Amino acid sequence: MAYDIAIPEEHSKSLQDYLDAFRRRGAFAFKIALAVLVLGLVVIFLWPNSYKSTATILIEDPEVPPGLVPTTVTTFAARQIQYINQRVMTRTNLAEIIEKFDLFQKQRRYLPTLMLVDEVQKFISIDLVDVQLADPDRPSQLINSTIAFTLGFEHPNPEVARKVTNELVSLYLNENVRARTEQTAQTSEFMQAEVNRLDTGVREIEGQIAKLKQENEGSLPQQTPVNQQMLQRADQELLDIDRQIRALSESRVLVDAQLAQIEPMKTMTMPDGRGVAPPADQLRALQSQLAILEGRYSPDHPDVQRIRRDIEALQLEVGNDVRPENSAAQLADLRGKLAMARERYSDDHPEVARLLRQIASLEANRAAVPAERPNRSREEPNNPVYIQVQAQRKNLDIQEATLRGQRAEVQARIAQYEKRIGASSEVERELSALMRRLETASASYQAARGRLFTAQMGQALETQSKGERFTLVEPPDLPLQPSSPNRPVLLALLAVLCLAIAFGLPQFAESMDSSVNSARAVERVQGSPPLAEIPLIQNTEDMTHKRNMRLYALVFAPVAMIIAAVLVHFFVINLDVAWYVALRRLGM
Amino acid sequence: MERIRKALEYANRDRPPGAEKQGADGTVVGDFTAGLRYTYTKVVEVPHRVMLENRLIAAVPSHEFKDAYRMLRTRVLQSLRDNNWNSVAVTGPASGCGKTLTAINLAISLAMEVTHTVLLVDLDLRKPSVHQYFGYQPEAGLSDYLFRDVPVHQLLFSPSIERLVVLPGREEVQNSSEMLRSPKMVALVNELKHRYPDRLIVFDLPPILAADDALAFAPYTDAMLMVAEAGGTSREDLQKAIAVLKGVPMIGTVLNKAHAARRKPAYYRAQGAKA
Repeated sequence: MAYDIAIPEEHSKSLQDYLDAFRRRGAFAFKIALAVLVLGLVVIFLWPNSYKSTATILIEDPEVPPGLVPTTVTTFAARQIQYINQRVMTRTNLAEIIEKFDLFQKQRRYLPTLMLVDEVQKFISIDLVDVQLADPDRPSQLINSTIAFTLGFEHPNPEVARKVTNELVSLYLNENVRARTEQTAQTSEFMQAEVNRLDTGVREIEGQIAKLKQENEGSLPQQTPVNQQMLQRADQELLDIDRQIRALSESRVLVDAQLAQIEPMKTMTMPDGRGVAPPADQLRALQSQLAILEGRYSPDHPDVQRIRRDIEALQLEVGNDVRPENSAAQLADLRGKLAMARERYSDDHPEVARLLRQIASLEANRAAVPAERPNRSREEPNNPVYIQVQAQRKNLDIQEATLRGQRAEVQARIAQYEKRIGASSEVERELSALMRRLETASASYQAARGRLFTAQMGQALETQSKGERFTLVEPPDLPLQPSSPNRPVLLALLAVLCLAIAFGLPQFAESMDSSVNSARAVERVQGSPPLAEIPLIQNTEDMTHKRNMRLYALVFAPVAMIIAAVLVHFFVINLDVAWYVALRRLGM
Repeated sequence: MERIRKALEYANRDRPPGAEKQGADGTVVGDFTAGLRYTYTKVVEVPHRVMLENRLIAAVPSHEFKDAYRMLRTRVLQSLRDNNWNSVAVTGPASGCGKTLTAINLAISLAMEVTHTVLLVDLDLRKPSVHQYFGYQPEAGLSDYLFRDVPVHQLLFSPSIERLVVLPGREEVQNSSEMLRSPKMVALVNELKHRYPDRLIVFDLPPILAADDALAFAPYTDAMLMVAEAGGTSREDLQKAIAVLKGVPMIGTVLNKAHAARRKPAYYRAQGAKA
């Protein structure tokens, strides 16, 4: 029976030890457990009931399939709920609810309403109803989809709970509609603004293009072939005219030759039947005769003299039409000399000055000559052949003048076309740049238009409540059963707690107690059991003392506590507030 | 009759009462003590009520816990007889564990056996208290013997329990441990132990761990009895006390104020009550 060696008692606890401990301290533990039980029961059954009213809100899928009319509200339902939650659970809203339904009457006497906002949130519950669905994109995976959620509010008064839940539900539904329509409206508004902006851009570019086209009429790229054709044609025309002019010149040479051969004057037939040569011929004949006679005779020879006089007379008649040709040649000669002299001398060299003077007098002569011209035609040609040929020649002159006029015109045209063709490449570059911009702008514009249309459809969808929406499927009920305290659970917990105290406390106290408290403990210390165990002997004094202590505990402890509470309540801090503040401190 | 009486008086002059009655049965003892014993020893009438109030239950005829002391008595007696000892010192690791009460109750219980007389000596010189349990204030105590040479027989008193004589202390003694080892004290102890062969001596010693008194006195007693208070004495103290008394014969330990003992089966209680 006795142990030979002392074994550390922690390692050798036997069932007997537990039983001993229980025997020694069981009564005490039972008393405590009983006290806890009574207290717990009192608390559980006197704790005020709290009723929870709930409402279920279904998240309905859009009535129009999203493929057909995509809504512009794209957030997940759960997120949407959270979003609305944030919007609804504002301090202002909650404060309003507190005021409206007169919640927390007691606390509001001491605390501002805003401080109770956090408090009221604790009684509001939002539970999402999720279902597992196959992901349409990846059928092997399951995704959580929120199909509904419940809103609840807890209050000691079931009617108030129902009313507040009702209020919350309407806040949620309104906020959802408001948020969705606002979102869609904002989307379409934004798209409208975007479309307008892009439209203005397109118009501006179009205006620039029109202006460019107007400014460069004729040299537009699409007109280039026409211009080139016209140019070609004008070139052809020019060639043609040139050819005609050449032909005319040839004809004129012929006519001139013909004219030269024809005496303007009709050969007068003397009465002797000898024709009288025209004065020019006579002059030339006389001049050549003079040359011959001068060779033969002295200038004073009467023949020579006569012929001289004849010549002078004829010259008066015919005019010295040789002179102009001479003077022209002379003038050209002098100008050549002048040029040479200028190369050699300076401008104020006498030689240069002399040449300049000669040229000046010669030019003056030449200017004067036309005045003498009529002298030549002092006598109208009267040879009909001559007149005819002369007319022919004049005709040729007129034709040539006409052709030259045409040529100038054609040349002008060619110049214009060339200019246009030259300008067209620049215009084309500018134009294509503008076209490019126009293309981009109009593409954006088209896209924006498309999106605006979608946005407007989405807006129509939301405003007509055909999109995803919240539907109240179960309106807030009037709770009949209190939701808290959950008495069965609390009772079960209390029972467990009491049992734990009753059976655990002795063991715990035993393990905390370092004294020898049993025969076994003595045996462990000294190796043998005690000779005897003498129980605690109680005399009447002990009994009285014990009874008195019990009496004090029963009577004075509650009285003292009540007095203390009353003193604290009236002199230190209101207990309601103290309780509330304590809860707040604890973060509850 | 006169001669016998004188002879008895002579014989009892210097000796405590209750020496002559071994082998006698209950009735003889009763008659015997009533007439003979207290010629020199003061007899103090201690009412049952006082004993009960002071928890001296061993003297109370039918007390429910009496059996516990009977058990202790028997164990102690067995031990003493086996070793041929006649004295036991009761001590405990610390004060308050009920050693004095145990010593008194043990002494009473021992005295209940008719085969021997019992002397209870209060050796707790620092705080003599045995007499208080009997509701009696002695005129002289052990200190008077030590300091003032008052004869021992004048110190003794009998608390109206047969075969039990008490040697009380009276006042506090300052250098108690020196006094316990003084030759006078040693002589007294030897005298007490050897005077009557059928006398058992119970010493009430101060706590072991509080002072060195118990340790100092240990050589003069045959055996030690340790009192441990259930729920009061720590295991360490008990271990220390046992370790301190290593070498001193130890009868064993008494677990005082034990909880478990309270729930004795009704059978024993009934028997105890009858006995």
